[in-house]
Amino acid sequence: MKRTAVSLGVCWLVLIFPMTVLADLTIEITKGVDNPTRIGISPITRDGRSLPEDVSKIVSEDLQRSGLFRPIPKEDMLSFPSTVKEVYYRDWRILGAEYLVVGKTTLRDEVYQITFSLVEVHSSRVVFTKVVKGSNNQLRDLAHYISDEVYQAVTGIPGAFSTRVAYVSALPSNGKMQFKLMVADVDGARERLLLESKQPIMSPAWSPDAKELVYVSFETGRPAIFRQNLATAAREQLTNFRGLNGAPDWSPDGRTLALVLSKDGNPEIYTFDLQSRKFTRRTQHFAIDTEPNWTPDGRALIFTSDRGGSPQIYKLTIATGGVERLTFTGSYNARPRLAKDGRTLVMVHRNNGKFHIASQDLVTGDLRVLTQTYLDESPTVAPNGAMLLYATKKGNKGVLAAVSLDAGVKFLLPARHGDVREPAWSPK
Amino acid sequence: MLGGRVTSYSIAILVSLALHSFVIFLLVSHWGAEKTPRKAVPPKYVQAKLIQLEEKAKPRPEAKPKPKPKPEVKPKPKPEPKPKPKPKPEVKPKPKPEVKPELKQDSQQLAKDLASALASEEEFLVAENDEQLTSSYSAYIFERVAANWNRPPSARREMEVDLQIQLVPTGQVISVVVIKSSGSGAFDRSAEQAVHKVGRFEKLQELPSRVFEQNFRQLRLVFRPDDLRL
Repeated sequence: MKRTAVSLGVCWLVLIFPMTVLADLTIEITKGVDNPTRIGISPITRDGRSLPEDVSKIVSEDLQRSGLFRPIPKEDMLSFPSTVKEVYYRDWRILGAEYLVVGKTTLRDEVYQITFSLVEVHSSRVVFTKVVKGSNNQLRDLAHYISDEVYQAVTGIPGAFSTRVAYVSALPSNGKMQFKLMVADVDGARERLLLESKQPIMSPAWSPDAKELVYVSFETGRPAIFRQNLATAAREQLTNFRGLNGAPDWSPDGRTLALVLSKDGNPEIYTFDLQSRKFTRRTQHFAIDTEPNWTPDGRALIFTSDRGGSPQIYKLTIATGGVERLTFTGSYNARPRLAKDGRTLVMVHRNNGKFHIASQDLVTGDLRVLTQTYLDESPTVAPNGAMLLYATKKGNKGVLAAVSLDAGVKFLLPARHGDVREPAWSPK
Repeated sequence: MLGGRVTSYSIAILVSLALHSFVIFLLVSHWGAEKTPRKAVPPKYVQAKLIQLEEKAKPRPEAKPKPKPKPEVKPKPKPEPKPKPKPKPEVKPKPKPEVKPELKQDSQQLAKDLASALASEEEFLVAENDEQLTSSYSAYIFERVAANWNRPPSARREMEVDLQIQLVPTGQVISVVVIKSSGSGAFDRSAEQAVHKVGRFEKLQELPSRVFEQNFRQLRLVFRPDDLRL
């Protein structure tokens, strides 16, 4: 009898017990740190032989320059693994590495093939292994590709190391200025001359496929807009109006240019259909309207106008012709460029008589001054929206500088001879 | 097993009824609460709580279930068995002169009551102590993980990743599993990496094994940055 009761009780207990096991204790982690990621980039070689370009060094410098990584110097490394199997994780934990890149090259028929892996050091886990191929003079591209892949996996943002920059340099020669339109890798390497002229060159802008440029050249004696193919160097003059022909910007679909013409009296925004060759006037105002820039959806243009008494940024919706003012902070905001998110506006902003680069969140309206140098101009945003380039003065020389959109990273681009100005970051 | 006379059945039925009602009672009173996930809101102080514990220890006997009517315990000679709302003096047996002349049985009863009161007091204190330990050590885990959580620049305030981690009593992390992804590989990895970087929560060794087993053998960590600008 008693046994019956006891066994019943036990049965119940057995039934009840697993149900009374409590839910896991939950701890919310609401804070963290935002330090650069410590990463090791093990030398990438071909069976111990060095490559014509030091690929791992390029990757290391790319990542370092982004400000989001702190690569481990090669001298500090305890081992040089080239495959995941060769990684001795403790070596890298000691160095404080969070991630490690290993890679191995093979050469066959003049084609280099790099197999590279990103490894998480603390969990000893492979994030990815990828293969990339290219010829001898594409090794830099392969390196930038590796940087892009690593950057994206760790930061969650697409990399922009494979992009290029167009800019204008001015160099005095024989007492006269010599203007050059240049294109280079975003790290400054592989600089290439596109056009040389004794007359000013201005406002380079990229086609959305990054294969062509439009720019203003004074070579005919007055400003005219030209279009030039990068691969073939073929060029074509697009405008030849009296007065101002300037500030071209290519639409995201590649079919239309926005530009400024003063043929009807004062500077107004026009669009130019590259197919039909038709110009359409978009603004009608006695004030100056200039520096148009397409929104990423191609439906609107933002531009600078002094119609309100001081230079401010406005937005023109193409379909309706409606104009809306975007900036209200300060008495000078000009040269607008929209990041690809369509939300972050960067511009030249005057603050206490100094010209800085500022960004404004178009949703919240928050304005942040990103630079401390003065006479900053011509901001251009990287396609991934993480950084922008601008022109500034160092001494009395024009140089290019970069700043991250959160203002956390700033650096000057390697100084070249002469003045460098008007950078334009390629869209891809 | 259930063979025998009618009487044995009736006892079994009684037992079964009692157990059923017990289960129903559990379901009604206690059970619902257990299913909701317990959140350890990490306090910003660690030691303050432990000091408070000492002070709080004595004057808190309200929570105890009292099996006996109180008047016997009371030093005041009140005959009617009116249940007292304030059971305070009970914990501290004040040997007032009135108590002495009472019967031996009564003093025995008193001692028994006192013992059971102390026992449940002890139980309560242990539970409270466990709770405070849990919250202190949760705060410790919070600090360690937060100090090692390097958020990617793509992290945004509304993102959230839930991890389930398993620990051994040395504090060593033996497994980290994403149970609810944020949708961003980089964000998820940053959270996992924060735990891996800590590697071992050394201080958890100090915990009584009971508390460790109850709360820290398996944990859920919810990563939700609220200190980001965006």
